[in-house]
Amino acid sequence: MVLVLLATIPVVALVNSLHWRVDFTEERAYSLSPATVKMLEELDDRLQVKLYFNRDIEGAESLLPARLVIEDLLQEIERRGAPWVSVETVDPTTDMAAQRDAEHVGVTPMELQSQDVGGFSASLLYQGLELRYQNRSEVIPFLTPNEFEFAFTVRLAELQRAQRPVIGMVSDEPLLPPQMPGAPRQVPEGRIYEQLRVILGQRYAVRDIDPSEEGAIASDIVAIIVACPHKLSQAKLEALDRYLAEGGHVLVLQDSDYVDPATQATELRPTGLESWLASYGVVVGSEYVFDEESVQITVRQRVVNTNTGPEVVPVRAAYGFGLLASGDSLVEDHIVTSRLEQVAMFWAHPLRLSALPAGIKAETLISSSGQSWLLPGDSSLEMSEANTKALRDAAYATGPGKPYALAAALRGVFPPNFEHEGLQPAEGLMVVISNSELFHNVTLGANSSGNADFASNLLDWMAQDAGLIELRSRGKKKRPLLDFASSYIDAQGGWTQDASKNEELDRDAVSFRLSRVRLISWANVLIPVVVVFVLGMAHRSFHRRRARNPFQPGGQS
Amino acid sequence: MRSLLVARREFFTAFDSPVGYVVLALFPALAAALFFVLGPLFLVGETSMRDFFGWMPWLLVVLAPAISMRIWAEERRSGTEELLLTFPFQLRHLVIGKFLGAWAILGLALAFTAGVPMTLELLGDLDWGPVLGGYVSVMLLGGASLAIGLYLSACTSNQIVAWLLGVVVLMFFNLIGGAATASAMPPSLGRILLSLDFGEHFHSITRGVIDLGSVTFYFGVMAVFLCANGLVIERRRWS
Repeated sequence: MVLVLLATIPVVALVNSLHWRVDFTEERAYSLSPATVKMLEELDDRLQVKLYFNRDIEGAESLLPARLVIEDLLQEIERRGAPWVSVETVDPTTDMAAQRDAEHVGVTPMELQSQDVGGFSASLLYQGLELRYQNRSEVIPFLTPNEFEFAFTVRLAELQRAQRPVIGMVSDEPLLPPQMPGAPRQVPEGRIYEQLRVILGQRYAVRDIDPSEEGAIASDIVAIIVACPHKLSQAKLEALDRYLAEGGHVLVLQDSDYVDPATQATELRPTGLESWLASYGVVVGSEYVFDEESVQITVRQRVVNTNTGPEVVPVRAAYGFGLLASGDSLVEDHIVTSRLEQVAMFWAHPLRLSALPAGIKAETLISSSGQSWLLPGDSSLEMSEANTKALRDAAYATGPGKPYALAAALRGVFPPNFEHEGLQPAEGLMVVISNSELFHNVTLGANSSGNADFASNLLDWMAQDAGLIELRSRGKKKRPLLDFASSYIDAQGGWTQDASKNEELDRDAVSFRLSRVRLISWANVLIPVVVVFVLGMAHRSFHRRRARNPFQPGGQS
Repeated sequence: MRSLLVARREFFTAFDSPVGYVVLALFPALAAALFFVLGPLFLVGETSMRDFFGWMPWLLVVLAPAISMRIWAEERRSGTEELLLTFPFQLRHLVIGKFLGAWAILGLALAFTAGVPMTLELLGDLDWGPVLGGYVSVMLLGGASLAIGLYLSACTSNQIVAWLLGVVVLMFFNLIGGAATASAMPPSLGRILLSLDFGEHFHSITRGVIDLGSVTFYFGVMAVFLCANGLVIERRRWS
């Protein structure tokens, strides 16, 4: 026993150093993803990973478990990338050379304030990383455990690639002025998709192109975004038609009008793509989709008397034209949308798919909720209390609601609409979104996570980089519990046009939910107790019977 | 084999008194009450057993010593320990057998919580990996807690003292990780303390990742305290 006691500690220490583990999660959420492992296996030169971590983390002790997770992942990276990967940890707070390096490569420390007996004291927290491969380097200025693998893999992909893939952008936005040395670049007003360029710019080179120009659609272009242009010229359309017919990937933001997000002023904007899209069976309606699943807007302020005096509080109302696609509205079995939380779409139009050409397959990516209606294209878009109510009344008056497609992907060999010399047909991909404001600077800024993730996922998928989509969405898979209230409402035939009946239905749904929650909770608490009690009684009566028959096998004698 | 005979006897003896049944009923009922009634499951609306397993270390702080407190202390109090030591078993058979018996009682109590994942599966799409990891984790943490409880039970003839000591020692092992991240602690010592924390290893497995390091840690704790248990009995035998 003494020997076992003495041997235990070295055995535990030895096994700990092996780092062997099995990940049982459905998405292998805590293991390196296949995309990362593949990149590590493809290394053919030394990859130096320099971790800038200060050993003394006074004031941020709660970060210690997170640091262990990062170190644990780096050990796995080193093991999977052997013999090419080497990891070195330096402490810039004690090593001057490391501090200079950190400053030089752009690893910035976080300043921490902590309070002690002598007052406040400030300390620096370094938690960055530098990757060096074939004389090139990439930096992650500050690491977080949740985003670590994605950030690492994206940078490794950058290092392994000789050149960034290019996304071509076709729009009517003003061009950027030339960069003046030493001066910040001025973004002209009207460049409404600049935020989209910034987001995609992390992975791609985004280039404004005129497809009709000779050589504009170069071979390094992986996809083209046609962002709601104004009356696209015949020459540009012909070039796009050829690109698609020869297997290109095109994302079309098609809208019949442009709505200024700040003023809600509308401007009719025919894109010139209408008949071209119609030839593939895609029509974007002029109506607006009104959805019950929508954003809450502040419609006015109200003064409320509180204990501390009068207070101004905002009054909010659902704005049906600002629909929030989530849950069933985001197609569950498509890699682009399956793990998205939410996508916000303002002033979306219905996307109609019919009479697709032979060989073209379409799949919906986003639709509105089942409680959606179509309202005419000349409806008021005003974000006021009276208008939100008027829009709802108008929507309910049109009959029962139903879902409408808002984004769809078409795949196949697209038949050309124009005569092209020496055309080489190949399978292409076209994604159509019936909302030009989806990737507007304002929308991407307000709903940065959902819409930005959708844009990144979509372009990664179109650029055939599915591995990164999986990595980006890992651990984000939604696993919602059954919503008793919604299922009750559905079972009763859904919402009606009668407001008082809806109120009653809402009350019944809430009480139904409460009763089900109570039933499930107490059943789980009490059933084991009852089962144990019954078993106990059975055991007791068995013993009593045996005691009464002492000469039976096993009885008392 | 001889250990299994001792384990079988220990397992069934536990149900000769109401204490065994109380533990068996209390463990799943408390776990379900904390998860369904007091927890935010229906408020958050996510199909996950993370909160269910989150309570387990604290439930085991109370319930594992309740299972183990009787095992040696009762033998010593009723004077059957000497008799037991005269049986044709080696001491290691007795120690391991009693431990396995207690572990089986915990396993049975845990089996009564099977309704919880089944309910969640009916209400949504449950990821069974973390559930499996969670149950493995509870069994390992429970095993380590029982080994500590058995050692403390061997040190005293009073069951209540054994239970109280068990609660205090298990609290220490569950709170040591908190001390590791305290501001006054040097990071190197903090790392060592964190690696001794029961909860740290427990949560690593409940994520759904079975790490050999965490598994060996729990088996190491079991081995250390079972050996200590054996040494205490052995010393008493010859004193």
